[in-house]
Amino acid sequence: MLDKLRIALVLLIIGAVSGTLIWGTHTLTYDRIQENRARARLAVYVEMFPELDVLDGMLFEEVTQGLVQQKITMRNAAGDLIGYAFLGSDTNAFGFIDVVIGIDPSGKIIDVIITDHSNTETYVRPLVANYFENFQGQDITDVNYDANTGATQTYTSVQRIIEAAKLLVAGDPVLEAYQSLFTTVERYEAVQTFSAGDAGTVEEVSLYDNSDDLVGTVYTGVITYEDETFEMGFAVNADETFAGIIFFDEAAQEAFASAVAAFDTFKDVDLEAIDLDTLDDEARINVLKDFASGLLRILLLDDEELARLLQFDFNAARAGESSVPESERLLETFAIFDEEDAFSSQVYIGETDGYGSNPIEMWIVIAADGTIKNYAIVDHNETDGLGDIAFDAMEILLGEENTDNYNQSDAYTGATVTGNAVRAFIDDALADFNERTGD
Amino acid sequence: MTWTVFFTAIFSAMLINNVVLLRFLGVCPFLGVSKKTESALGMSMAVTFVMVVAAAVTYPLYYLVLKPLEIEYVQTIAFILIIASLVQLVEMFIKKFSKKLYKSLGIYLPLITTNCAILGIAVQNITDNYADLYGIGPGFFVAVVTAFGAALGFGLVMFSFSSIRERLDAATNLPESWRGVPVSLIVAGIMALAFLGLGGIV
Amino acid sequence: MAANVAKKTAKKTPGQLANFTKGFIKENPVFVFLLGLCPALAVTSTLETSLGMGLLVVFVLVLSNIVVSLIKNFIPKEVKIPSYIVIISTFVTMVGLLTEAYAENLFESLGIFIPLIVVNCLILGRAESFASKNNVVSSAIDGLGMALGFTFALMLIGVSREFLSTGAIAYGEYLPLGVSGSIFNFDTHLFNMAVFGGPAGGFIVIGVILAILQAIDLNKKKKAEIARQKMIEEKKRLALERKRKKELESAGGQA
Repeated sequence: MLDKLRIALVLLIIGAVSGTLIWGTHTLTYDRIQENRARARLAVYVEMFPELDVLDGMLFEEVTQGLVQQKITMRNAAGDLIGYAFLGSDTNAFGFIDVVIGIDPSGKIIDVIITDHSNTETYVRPLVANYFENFQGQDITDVNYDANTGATQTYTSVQRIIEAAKLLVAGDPVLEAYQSLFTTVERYEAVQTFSAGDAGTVEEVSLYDNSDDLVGTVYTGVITYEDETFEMGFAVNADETFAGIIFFDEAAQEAFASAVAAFDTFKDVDLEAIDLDTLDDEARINVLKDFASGLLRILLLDDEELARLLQFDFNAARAGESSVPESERLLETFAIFDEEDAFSSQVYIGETDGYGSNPIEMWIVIAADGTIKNYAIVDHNETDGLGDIAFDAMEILLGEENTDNYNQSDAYTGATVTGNAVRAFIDDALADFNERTGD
Repeated sequence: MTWTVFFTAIFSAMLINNVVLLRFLGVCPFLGVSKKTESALGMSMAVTFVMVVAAAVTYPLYYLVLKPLEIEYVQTIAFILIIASLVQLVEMFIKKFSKKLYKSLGIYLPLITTNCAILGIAVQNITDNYADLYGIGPGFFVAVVTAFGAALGFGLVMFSFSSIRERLDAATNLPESWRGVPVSLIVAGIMALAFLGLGGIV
Repeated sequence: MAANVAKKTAKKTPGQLANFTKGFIKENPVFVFLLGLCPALAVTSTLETSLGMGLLVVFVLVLSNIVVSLIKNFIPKEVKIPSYIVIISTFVTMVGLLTEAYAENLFESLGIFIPLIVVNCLILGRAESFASKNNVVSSAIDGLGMALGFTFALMLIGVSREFLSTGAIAYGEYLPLGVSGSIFNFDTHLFNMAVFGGPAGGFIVIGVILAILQAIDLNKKKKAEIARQKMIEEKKRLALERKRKKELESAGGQA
C-alpha cells in the first residue's frame, strides 16, 4: 500500500513539474508563436508590408467597388499607417483569378500578387515574372499597362481589378460627375451602346441609388469642338424628364459652363417638350444642340422598326425588301431609303468564322457611293484584346470605298485569323454591292 | 464526402506517402526487425493493430479534450503517454486472451512504443487538418483509414525488404565492407526510388 | 562554448574525456548503433536543418540525462519508463515551442520530426542505460558527447546530401542567423543530382558512409590480426631460440 502511494506521489510530482515547465514555456512563447503563425498565414501581406503588425495592425473592410471585395488598412506596431491592400477577383474565359494589390499611403503600388487562379499556369507564370514588376512604384491613379503580354485574358483581369482599386483610392470621377446631378447615385452600369446619328455612338448608362432603385439614365458620347473632343453625357431623370448635361473632366466643365447653363432651362421638362430652337445660336451651344437632337430623335422614336434602321443609317426612313445574298457569310441584306425615298445605303448582316469557337456576328452598311458607312460587331468570342486590335482596325475603314486599306495587314498585327475573317466578310459585302449597283 | 476520399486516403498513405521509404517514419524497426520474413510480418501486424487504435484514440483526444481546453501544446506528451499505455494494455489483453497470438506478436509490442511511425501518424492526422477539411466527425474516419493505409504500407515495405534481405544474406560475392546494413540501406534507397514513381497514382 | 567547458572538466579526469569523445566515432549513435535513423534520414537534406535538429537533440538529451540522473533514486522501478517518457517529452515540448517562437523556418522544415524526438531511441536509451546508473556530471557529459556525436553524424550526412543535390552549402535559410548566403557554391547546376535531396538519397548516402566505416573497421581488424600473427611468430621464434640456447648450453656443459 505504502509502495503504491509512493508511486502515485512520484508520478504526481513529475506530472506537476513537467506541467509547470510546459505551461511556463507556453506562456513565454505564446505571443511570438501567434505572431509567427499569423505571419505565415498572411505571408502575402507581410511580403508587401514587412513592418506590418500582423496581430492588430490590419483593419478589414468589405467593399463592393466593382471587382474589389476587400480593403485592408495596414498599420505597423507603432500604429502608423503603412498602406492599404485591396483584394479583388475577376472571372475571365479561362476561369477565376484572385489578386491582391498593395499600395503605400501615397498611392504608389508596392506590388501586385496573384494569390489564386484557374487560368493556364504556363501563361500566368511568365506574365507574373516579366510584366508585374512594371506595376511596382507606379501611382495607382495613373497606371501604365503593358500592351503585349502574351496572356491577354489574365492581364486584362488584373488590369480590371487595378482599375477598380484605383476608383477606391481616388474616388470615381465618373461617379462624382453623376453625383453632381443625381445626389443619391451609388452605382452605375452601362446598359447598351447604339449609334445615334449626329450624336455618334452613344452609351446608355443606368444610375442606381444604394437601395438599387433606378434614379436616372445618362447617354454618354463624344462631341467635337474646335478639333478637340470632349466626353459628355445627356442625363434623363427616371420619370423621362431632362436632368442636365454632364461633362466628365474639369476643363470641359469650365469651357462649356455657359452652354450647360443654357440647357438648364429644360430642367424637369418632358423630353418630348424640349424645343432646341429656343436656345441661342452660339458655337458651343450648337455642338450640344447637334448631339441632343441626334439623341432625342432616337429616344423619342416610337417606331421600333425605324429605331432599328436608324442604327444602320441615320437617314433611314424605310427599308427595302430583304434578300439573301449568294455568300455563306452574308445572311441578309436590304436597302435603306431616306425621307425623300431615295436609295441611301445597303445593309449586310451575317457571320464569319474567326478564331473563337462561335462565329463573329457582325453587320456592315455600304453607302450609295460605295463607301463603308457604318459597321458593328454584334457578338464574338475571339480572344479579348487580340480581337479588339482587329476590330479597332475597322474604324479606319469607315468612309473608305476600296478594300486596299484593310488588305494592309498592319492593322491586324497579332490577330491574323480574326482580321482575315472580318476582311472576308467585307469582301463579300462589297462584291455583292458592286453586283447590285451594276459596277 | 464520398467513398473516394477513403480510397484516396488509403492509397496515398500506403504508396504515395509510404511511411518508411518516403516519410522516414519507423526506420528503426524497418532495419532492425527485417532480417527474417517471419518476424517482419509479425512486426507489421502488431504495428497495424496499434497504429489504427492509436489513431482512433488520439484524434478524439485532441478534438474533444485538448482543443476545447486550449492546451493543444501538450499534444506531444499526451499522445506518447496514450500510445505507451495503449501498447501496455494491448500486451496485457493479448497475453490474457490468446497465448498463441501473444507468442507471435508479444515480443514486438514493447518495441512499438518507440516506433516513430505510430506517434508520427497520430500527429500527422492532426496537422493534416482532416477536421477542417471534412468536419470533425468524418475527419475521424479519414484519420483512422489513413492510419490503416500507412500500416499497410509499412507491412508491404517490411515484407518485400525482408525478402530481399534474406537473399542478400545468402549472397557471397558481396564485398566484405558492404555486407549487412550498408547494402540494406542501398536497397532501401532503390526501393524509395521505385516508390517515388507511384507519385502520380491518385 | 558548452563543449569547451566539458573538455576542461574532462581534462581533470581522463575517464571523463573518453566519456565525452566516445559518442563521436567509437559509439556514434547513428553510424554504430543505428539509433535515431528516422531524423538522420528525414531532416538531413541540407546542412542547416541537420545542425538545427542536432542542436535540439543536444538540448533535450543533456537536460533529460541530468534530470534522470538527479532523480534516479526516487523513481520506483515499476514506473521508470513512463517517468522517463514524461521527462523527455516535457523537454521536447519546450524545445518545440521555443523553436516555433524563435526559429520558425527551422520549425517549419523539421515539422513532425520535432515532436518525434520523443521517440528517438537515442534519448530514452541513454536515460535508461547511462543516466539511471551514473552521477549527474558523468550523465551530463555523456549526454553532451552522445548528442554532439549525433549532430556530427547528421551534419556529415547533411553536407554530403546538400552538396550532391545542389552543388552548394547554404546558410541562414533555416537558422535565425541574421545573415544568409552560401559557404561555397560551385554552380554545378548541370551535374546536380536532385535525388540526393529526396528520400532515396538519404538511404544511399548513409549506406555509403556505413560501408566506408565498415571498410575502415575491417582494415583495422586485418592489420591487428596481422600484427597479432607477427607477435605470435616472434614469440615462437624467441621461445625456439631460447630452447636452442638452452640445448646448446646444456650440450656445452656436457662437453
